[in-house]
Amino acid sequence: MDSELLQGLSQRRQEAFDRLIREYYPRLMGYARLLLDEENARDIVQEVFLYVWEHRSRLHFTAGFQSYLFRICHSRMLDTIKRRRLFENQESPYSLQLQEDAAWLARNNDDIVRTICNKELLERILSLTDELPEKRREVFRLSLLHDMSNAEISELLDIPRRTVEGHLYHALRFLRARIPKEELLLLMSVFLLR
Amino acid sequence: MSPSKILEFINRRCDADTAAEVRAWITRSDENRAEYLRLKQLCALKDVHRHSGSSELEGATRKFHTEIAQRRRVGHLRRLVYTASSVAALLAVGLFAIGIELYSERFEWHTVANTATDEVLHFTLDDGTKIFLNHGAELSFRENFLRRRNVRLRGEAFFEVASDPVHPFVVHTPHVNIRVLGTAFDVITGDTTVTILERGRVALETASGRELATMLPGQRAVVDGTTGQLTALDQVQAGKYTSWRFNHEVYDRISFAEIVRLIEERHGVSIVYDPAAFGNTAYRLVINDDETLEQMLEILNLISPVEYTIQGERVFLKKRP
Repeated sequence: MDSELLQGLSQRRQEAFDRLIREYYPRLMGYARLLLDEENARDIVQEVFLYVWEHRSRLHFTAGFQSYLFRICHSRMLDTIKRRRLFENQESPYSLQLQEDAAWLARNNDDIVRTICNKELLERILSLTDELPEKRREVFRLSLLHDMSNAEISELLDIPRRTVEGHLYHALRFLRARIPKEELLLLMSVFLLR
Repeated sequence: MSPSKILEFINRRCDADTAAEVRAWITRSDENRAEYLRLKQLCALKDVHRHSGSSELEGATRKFHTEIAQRRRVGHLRRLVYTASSVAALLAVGLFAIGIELYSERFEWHTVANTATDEVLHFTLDDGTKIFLNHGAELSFRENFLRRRNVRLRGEAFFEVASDPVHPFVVHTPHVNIRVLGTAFDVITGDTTVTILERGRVALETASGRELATMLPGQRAVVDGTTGQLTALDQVQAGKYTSWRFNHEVYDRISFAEIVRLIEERHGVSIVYDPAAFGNTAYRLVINDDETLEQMLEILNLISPVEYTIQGERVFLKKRP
């Protein structure tokens, strides 16, 4: 978080809060979506900003504020999960995985926040996808950015499902070749395991 | 394990069997688990990108501002209630000998004003009465409101008064008092005071208590400010005067693509369509706050014949030949 933004926040300037939302809303959404569905994520991210606003006279807007912001979000995510636990079957694969994911997030919180806040990495991935052939880019975009399933993509673009899977596979292999492994934390390698 | 299955698992879209299969694969080895978590991080990065669209950011900022404005008002009302109850408790001890009328005059007036320029302020009083304040309107009431339901109004407001025959509800405007038993009506103050009754019954009185008129549903009464006399009492289409409280918005010169973006933002869906198939014509659009997704899509259908299918959070739009 740059010093100009922090200074604006500590002077309680309204524009600074607007900028905080513009810059951190997407990141907090990405973070909250690690454990929550979109609707719940949206609600708690909104709550995080309201919390910061209401406690603005007591908060310290210094270098550690960014990680504090994610910590507020984290505790709210855990509250939501706790509340939802009452309605979910605890033995279902999703619930079991959620419990493990929550533990993983708690252990590696700082690394994960750093990955999420890494704007360059995100931009690099996006600019690389522009180099893909048109159809492949379309499939990749629909799959990752629009969260569409392979079946839906095959229906929408009117191409066989195997072709969709092929496009995805090649798109990811292309990205993998262009981005140094260590930077992506081997993010892509899962696609090459088949 | 195929990556698309894992992606579907992360998005919680698998059937029960596939979910169990993916879960079993993840727990089989640390290596598998690590692969799954890397994919999860990729999805987090993807979500950062997905939620950084300008319309979504604007929506989030707007929601934040609405919320802090509302909390400010609610905080004010809540403080009011606290003071009211503590003041009442303190005064009850010492003041019971003094005439009720006299002491009720000592309660101060509090005012709720709608200073927003494009939004209707909606709140509920402690007796359950719903108030919609139009832009620039001010409503005042005293701390002993529950005992004497008297309010003062300047500007335009819509009232849905909670029924309570023991405690009549009276709206004081500069020219006329409106006495209510349990009803919904609209009041506009200015040089004249206009009352439109949607349902129920109200009586108009002068400040001295002389009855000017009793109104029936659908009637509009106009009281002149200078003479204090009733100048008109006629039947109107009440909805035309009272629908502003639904916060409808008017968009002038909006294109098809902009309407699509508006729907995406309001209903949290993403619409898949081909912008090139639709022209650049500018439309005028009036929509209510409570319009459903289907109603909005029907609006698109009116502009240009379309076919749509809704699949969860995605809407597919096709031009009808």
